[in-house]
Amino acid sequence: MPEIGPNCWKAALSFFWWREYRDGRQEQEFDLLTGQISPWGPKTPDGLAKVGWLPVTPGLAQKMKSCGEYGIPTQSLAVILPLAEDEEPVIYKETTVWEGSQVHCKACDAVFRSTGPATHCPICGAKTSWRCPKCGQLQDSEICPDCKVQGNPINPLESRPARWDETEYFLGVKGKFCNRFNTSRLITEH
Amino acid sequence: MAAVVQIVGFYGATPGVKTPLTVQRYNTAIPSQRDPGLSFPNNIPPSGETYRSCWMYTGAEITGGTYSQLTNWRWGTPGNIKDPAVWDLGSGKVQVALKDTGDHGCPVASYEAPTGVSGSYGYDIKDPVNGHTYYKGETAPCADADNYTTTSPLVFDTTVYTPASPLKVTKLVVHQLVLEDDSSFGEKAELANFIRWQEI
Repeated sequence: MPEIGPNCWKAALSFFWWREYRDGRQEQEFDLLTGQISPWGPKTPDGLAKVGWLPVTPGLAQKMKSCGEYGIPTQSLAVILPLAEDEEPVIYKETTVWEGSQVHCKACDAVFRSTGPATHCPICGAKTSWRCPKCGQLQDSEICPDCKVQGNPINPLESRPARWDETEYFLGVKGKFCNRFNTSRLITEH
Repeated sequence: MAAVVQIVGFYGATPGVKTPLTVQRYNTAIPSQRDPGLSFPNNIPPSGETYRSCWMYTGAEITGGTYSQLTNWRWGTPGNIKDPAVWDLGSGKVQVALKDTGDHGCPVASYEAPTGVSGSYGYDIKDPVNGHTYYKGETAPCADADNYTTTSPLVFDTTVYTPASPLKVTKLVVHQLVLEDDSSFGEKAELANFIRWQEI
């Protein structure tokens, strides 16, 4: 999701909502030909037979851009839920903005995000160690176990403040279950 | 279709100045400041006492975009602020104000300028005399911010914001740093935290 101003966020979307009524009418968030936006509305309409989230395609992402929206194309499948007449859908997306840090591992050059102090590199496992000034060996403890002298700390992890966002999509039936998903996984919660 | 949301804080004399939150630093400046740098630090108290930072306000403003509804605003941390590897607060903590019922956030109209002794300490949110009017009479004590994580965040505003809503600034999380005599001294690293909302 782009940070479009100082801590000012607008979600970039990988999925957009879609709904089908019992009379066969279909509506969706973006017009596939123009990228024009349709709002969901102040309340969920009656008479829905199916609701779902459809994946943003590269073509739609281009059209969304011309309408001031950010789309991230995905090859994920659509997630669609048929509704019984007495069922009320749960459908929304959830955005989380994190204030954390971006960490650079000087050992393997990996860059990763962290929401706490990074103790080790998740890619290569590098962590703070101590070089013994006497024998020159790297040790896991401050005091060299062989020479019994204080080592000099060597921290391979370089952190700087960073902000980022995460968006998840929710789809379910009120009082029964809810699927939460993004482009890499789907979890069903009861 | 997405709203444009800016994370904001409020500072200074009542009714407070809304400020985009690039950096927010717990401090003891009166009137309150977003980030006075290393001036107005939080001080480790003498033995047996407790010192606090000034109150901090954190919320969000819907500044534009296209949306139908935004709601269920939540705030949280990684849950490890007190840990020796993070801020090493000993028996201190970051505390967050709670209401007995309803949303825990403070409405913008109930903003109150933080009080205290500038450069030394801020008053407790729950102080019976100098505390925050919106919270000090509540039965619920302030909570430890480490209790509010991604799986159990603090719900600070359940208002449903629509394009027709007259006010598009959420309620505000009110929090402050609490230092005890066993909290460790020194400049601390940037603290991770998050704000989350639902949108359709």
